[in-house]
Amino acid sequence: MINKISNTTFAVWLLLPAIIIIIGLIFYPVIYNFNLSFYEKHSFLSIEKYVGFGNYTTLFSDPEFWYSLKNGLIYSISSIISQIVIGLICALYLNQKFRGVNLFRGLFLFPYLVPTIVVTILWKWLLNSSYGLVNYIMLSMGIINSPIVWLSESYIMTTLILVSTWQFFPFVLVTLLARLQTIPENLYSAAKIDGASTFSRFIHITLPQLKNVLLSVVLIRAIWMFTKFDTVWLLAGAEGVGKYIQTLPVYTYRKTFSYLQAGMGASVAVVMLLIIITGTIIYFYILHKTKQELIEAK
Amino acid sequence: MKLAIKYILIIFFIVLSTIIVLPLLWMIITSLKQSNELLLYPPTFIPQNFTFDNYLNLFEQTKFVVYLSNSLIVASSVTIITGIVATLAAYSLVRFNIKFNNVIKISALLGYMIAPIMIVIPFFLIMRVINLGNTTLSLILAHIAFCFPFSLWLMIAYIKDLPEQYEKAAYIDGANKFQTFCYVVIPNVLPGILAISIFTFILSWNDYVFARILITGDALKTIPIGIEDIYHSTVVDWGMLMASGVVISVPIIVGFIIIYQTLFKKSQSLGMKF
Repeated sequence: MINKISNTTFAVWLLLPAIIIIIGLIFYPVIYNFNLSFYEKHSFLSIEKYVGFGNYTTLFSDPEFWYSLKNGLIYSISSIISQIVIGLICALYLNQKFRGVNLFRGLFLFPYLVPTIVVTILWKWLLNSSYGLVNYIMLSMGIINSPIVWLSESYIMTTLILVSTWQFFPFVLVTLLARLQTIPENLYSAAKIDGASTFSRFIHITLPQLKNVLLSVVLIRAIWMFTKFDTVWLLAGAEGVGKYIQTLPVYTYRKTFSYLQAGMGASVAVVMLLIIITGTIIYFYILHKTKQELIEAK
Repeated sequence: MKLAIKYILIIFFIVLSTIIVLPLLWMIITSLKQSNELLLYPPTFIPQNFTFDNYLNLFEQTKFVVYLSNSLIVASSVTIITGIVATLAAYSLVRFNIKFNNVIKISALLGYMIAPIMIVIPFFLIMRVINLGNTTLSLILAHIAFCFPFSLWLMIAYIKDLPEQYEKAAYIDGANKFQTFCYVVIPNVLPGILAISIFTFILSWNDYVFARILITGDALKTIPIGIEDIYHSTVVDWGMLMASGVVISVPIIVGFIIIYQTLFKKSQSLGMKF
C-alpha cells in the first residue's frame, strides 16, 4: 500500500509539519504584527481602534525613537567592529598547530554558550565598583588610579560594548576558523618559496580566501546586534542608566509593557524589520557595485 | 627582531585568553566562597574556606528545582518536536524535487533573520486570544518558531552529505519509502540529528526573551527568569547567583563537548545562532 503512493505525495506529507510551523508560528505572527501596527491597542485589555499610519507618525515625531535608533547604531556598529577584529585575531591564532590548541578552541567558545542572564550578572559582579575583579586588576597594574564606576551614565555604553564583544566574538571565531582550515596549505608554501612575508601572505592569501565568509558574518552579526534585546535589557533595564543605552528593541519592549501601547510596540518592530531589509539590500548593492568596479578596473 | 615579535604575539595571546577565560573561572571561584569573603579587598583567588553553601542555599531557599524542571520540560519538548519535523522536512527537500521546495527553503531562511523581539509581542497577544496565555505550551511553540529555521538548514546540510546509493540499494531490496527512511536514512544521519538536538536544546535552555514575556506565573518560570528574579530579590547574593550560573551552564557545556567535532565541520557554511 505505502509503496504505491507517489514521490510527490510522500514528499508533501514529510513537509507538512514544517509548513505548518513556518506559516503558523513564524509568518502569521509577523503578519499579525504588521496589522497590529495600524491599531491603537492596549497590551492587556481588548481595547483597539484603527488609526491607519497614526502610530508611525507618532513614532517619527517621538525624540525617544530617534534617540534609541542612534544608540542602536552606535552599539551595533562598534560591537560588530570589535567582534570581527577579536574574532579574526583569535581565529588566526587558533588556526596554527600548537599543543593544547583544541582545548583553547573549546574554551574560547564558552562565552557564547553561557546564557545571557548569566553573562550579564557575571559581568555586573566582575565590574562591581567596590568589590569587582576588573577594577582590582586594573588598579593593581596601575592602568587606572581610582576605581571606575562601570555601570554609570558615562561608562554604560562602553561596558555594554565590551560585554557584547566578550559574549559574541566566538561566533566570528568559529565561522572564520572553519573557513581558514579549508584554505589549501600549498597556497602558503608557494608564497613562502616566492619570498612573501607573513604580513603579505595574510593580505594576499588569507584575506581574499576569507572574504566571502567575512562578508556574510558581518551581515548576520549586524542584523543580530541591531535587534539584540536581552544583553542590553539585562545589563541595565529600563530605569536609571538603562536609558543611556536604550536601543530600538528595548524601546519596543517598553512601549508594549511599560506604556501598554501594543500597537506602538508593533510599529517599532515593523520599522526595525524595514531597516534590516533596506540595510541588507544596500549592503548587497554596494558589494555588487564594488565587484563590478574591480572587474572593470582589471 | 623576529624573536621579539614572536614573544609580543605570545604575550598578547596570553592576555587575550585571560580576558576570555578568567570571568568564567571567577564565576566558579565566587560560587565556592563564603559570603563574608566576597567583600574582601583585595579579592582572594583561592577560597579561604571552601564551601558548597551557595549551592545548598540555591536548592533549598529558592524555587530552583521548580525552575530546573520547567526548563527541562520546555527544552526537551522543543528539541524532540523540532528534531523530528526538521529531519522529515529536510529529507523531503533534499531528495524529492517538488514544486515549492525553494519557496520553503527561502521562507525558512527569512524566518532565521527575524529576531525574537520582533515576533514575541504578536506571539504574546495571539496566545492570549487562543487562551494559551501563561502556559508551558505557548513557550514551547515560541521556541519551536525560534529554533526551527536553523535546525532545518543544518539538517539539509547533513542529509545532502548522505550518498543516495544507500537508499537506492534499499529500494532494490524491496523496501518501501517509509522503511527506507526509517531504517536507512535515520541511522545514517544520527550524528546530524544529535547535533541539531543539542543545538536546539541550548537555544531553548538559554532563552530569556520569550520566557520573560510569555510566562507570568511563578510555577511555570524557567531558569533564566528564575535567576533574574533571584537577582532582583532583596539583597544581591553574589555567591548564590554565581552558583546558579554554574548549575545552568553545566548541561550546555556537556552537550557542547558531545557535538563539538561534528558541528565544527558543518558550521563553516552556515554560521551559528544562539
